[in-house]
Amino acid sequence: MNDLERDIRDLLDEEVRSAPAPHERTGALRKTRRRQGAMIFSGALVAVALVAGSFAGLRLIDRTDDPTFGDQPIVTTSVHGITMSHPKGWYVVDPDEAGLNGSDPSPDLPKLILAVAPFDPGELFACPGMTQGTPHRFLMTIQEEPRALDGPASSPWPVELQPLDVGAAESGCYPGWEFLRAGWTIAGRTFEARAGFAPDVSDTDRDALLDAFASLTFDAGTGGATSFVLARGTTAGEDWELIAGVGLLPASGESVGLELMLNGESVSAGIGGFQPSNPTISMAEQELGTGADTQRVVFGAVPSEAVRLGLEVSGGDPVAAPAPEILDVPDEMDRRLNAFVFTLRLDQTAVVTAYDASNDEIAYAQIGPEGVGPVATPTAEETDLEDGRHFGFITSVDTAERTMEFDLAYRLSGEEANQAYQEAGGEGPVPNDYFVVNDNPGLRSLSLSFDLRLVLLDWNNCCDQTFDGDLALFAQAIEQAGYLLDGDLRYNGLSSWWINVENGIVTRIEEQYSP
Amino acid sequence: MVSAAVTEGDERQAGGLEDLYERHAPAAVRLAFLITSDGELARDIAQEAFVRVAGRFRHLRVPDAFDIYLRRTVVNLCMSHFRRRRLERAHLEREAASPSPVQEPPELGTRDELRRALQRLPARQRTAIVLRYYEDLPEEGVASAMRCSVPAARSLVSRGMETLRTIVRSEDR
Repeated sequence: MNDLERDIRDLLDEEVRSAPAPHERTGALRKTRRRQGAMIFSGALVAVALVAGSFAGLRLIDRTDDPTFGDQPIVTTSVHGITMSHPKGWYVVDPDEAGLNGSDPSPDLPKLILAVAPFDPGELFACPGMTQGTPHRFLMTIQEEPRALDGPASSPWPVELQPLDVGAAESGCYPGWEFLRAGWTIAGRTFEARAGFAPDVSDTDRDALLDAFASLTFDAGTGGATSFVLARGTTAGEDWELIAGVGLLPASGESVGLELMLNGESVSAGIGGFQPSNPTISMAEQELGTGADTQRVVFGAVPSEAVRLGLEVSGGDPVAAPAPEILDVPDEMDRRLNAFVFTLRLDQTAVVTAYDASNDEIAYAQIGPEGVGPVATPTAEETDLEDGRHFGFITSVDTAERTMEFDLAYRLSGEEANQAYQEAGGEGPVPNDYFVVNDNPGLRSLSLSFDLRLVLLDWNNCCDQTFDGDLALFAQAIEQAGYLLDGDLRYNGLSSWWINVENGIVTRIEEQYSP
Repeated sequence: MVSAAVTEGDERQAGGLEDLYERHAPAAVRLAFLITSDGELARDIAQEAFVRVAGRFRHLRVPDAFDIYLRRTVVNLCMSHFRRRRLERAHLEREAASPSPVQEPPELGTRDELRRALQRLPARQRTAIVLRYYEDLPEEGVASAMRCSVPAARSLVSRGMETLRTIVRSEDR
């Protein structure tokens, strides 16, 4: 250990003595129990923001009187394209309005789209065990999920509710409750319902809820499915789903093509910005599990011309490595690409090769113990660049050596751009008032300053806000020729860049917005 | 440090959530405090992290890794906080239409220089250094807590150390 490391350890040990005590536990535990309750009714993949007061939006949905079941007046209610017949007086809730999907509901799936209880349960909707007075005796939620192409959730409607063990025997929110669930696909949409009954629920209420479930009818989704489940699995004890979606720019809603998301129970990872013509397969990995059990789930996209994949695994103990199956991405989502997924241990290296119908290799990539790459790197033909600000493309970044390969180009605007555009065969004024000239294919190998500032566009607030990027993630995005998601921040390996060179060293990299 | 492991059985036998909170919340506050340098914020983050992780306790496939899930969530919430703060700051700077006045640091001794240097590090580098040198995690542990690859974690730590060296050297001159 060197002096600086020792000083930092000492400093942190000293600093931490000033840390305050945690909040008083009562409030934290109350929130925790509500969260435990909410999780039972939201499935494992949706985080529900259930806080006191969040049910200000709870209301009776507009209903239309209809025929009756026996003595009870029956009404019909529609929420998010689901129509249900149920006894008048029941509370049918739009989860978006009630805050069950968080304060700023996203259109992304999965999400709760309907909830029903026998009466207004107030703020403890999802935790009857904490209700003062008479709690509600049953509850049902319906969640819309990425469309299932196979598996139990692809079952056609009608389906029956089946027993579900959620370990609620000692739950503070649902003491002794019995739970049922069902999953199905209809009208191009996939749903999951969860129903719960208190031990003292009456037969009448129970039968009424089951009748209400059986009465469900469904409208087709508007605009087609936004996401599909391509594969499911369990790795290192954690369940995951590989979901295909279409990436949209937040500001304009413009499509940026296929996105793949690996959703585990504790983590998620995504990749997008695929270029089918790129001979390097774009893929990403996510570690699942802990300690010695940790494994990697590797996923990515290959051109739709690929008919089979080869997988060579080396390192670690020998294991059988069946070639991953090519997963069909629905054409309505992206006809140019299909997907794949496989698992690796941490110490293993794998080479993935895609072959077309003629058995010719059309794309490949390697993933080693230290992540995706390396991929074929062009040879640098020039190694210097005069000080100043330059425009171009970054083709690789070596974080260990702190170097990058830069393809110098010229971004013209105004009359210069029009002239260059027309000389290149274009007609009329250049679209978007800019034109990139990149006549010299040579690459320059440049050193990166330790004080390098990486200024990336925040696509969530496009396009006047930026954030300071992390070089390692940036390098990954460049290597994959795609983009990486770090939480809600996007690293776009396909962008163009402005770099500042001082004394021959790159001190700043700034992402150029291109419409 | 966030180090004690629990199991679902422990949760029931040892007084349930109360015991879980008593055992893990202080360490979570300490970690959040070292990353954010803000005591009240650290208490809020630690509580929210506990609620999120314990709230889905029965859904955790490896419940005896509660401490690992809690550490990850604390780190994630700290990163979210910094991201929001960066946006707010950018917004305020635009509103003010002029750069904020630069606060010149007072002349202090070496330990205080190091403390200020640590606070000036980019959030991810500071987090990586806290995890490496306070939580004493190996690079794999830092990567797991920050949900990044091992090379990325290694890079964050080494870049953070290099920046600290540069700052301390320049202030020594």
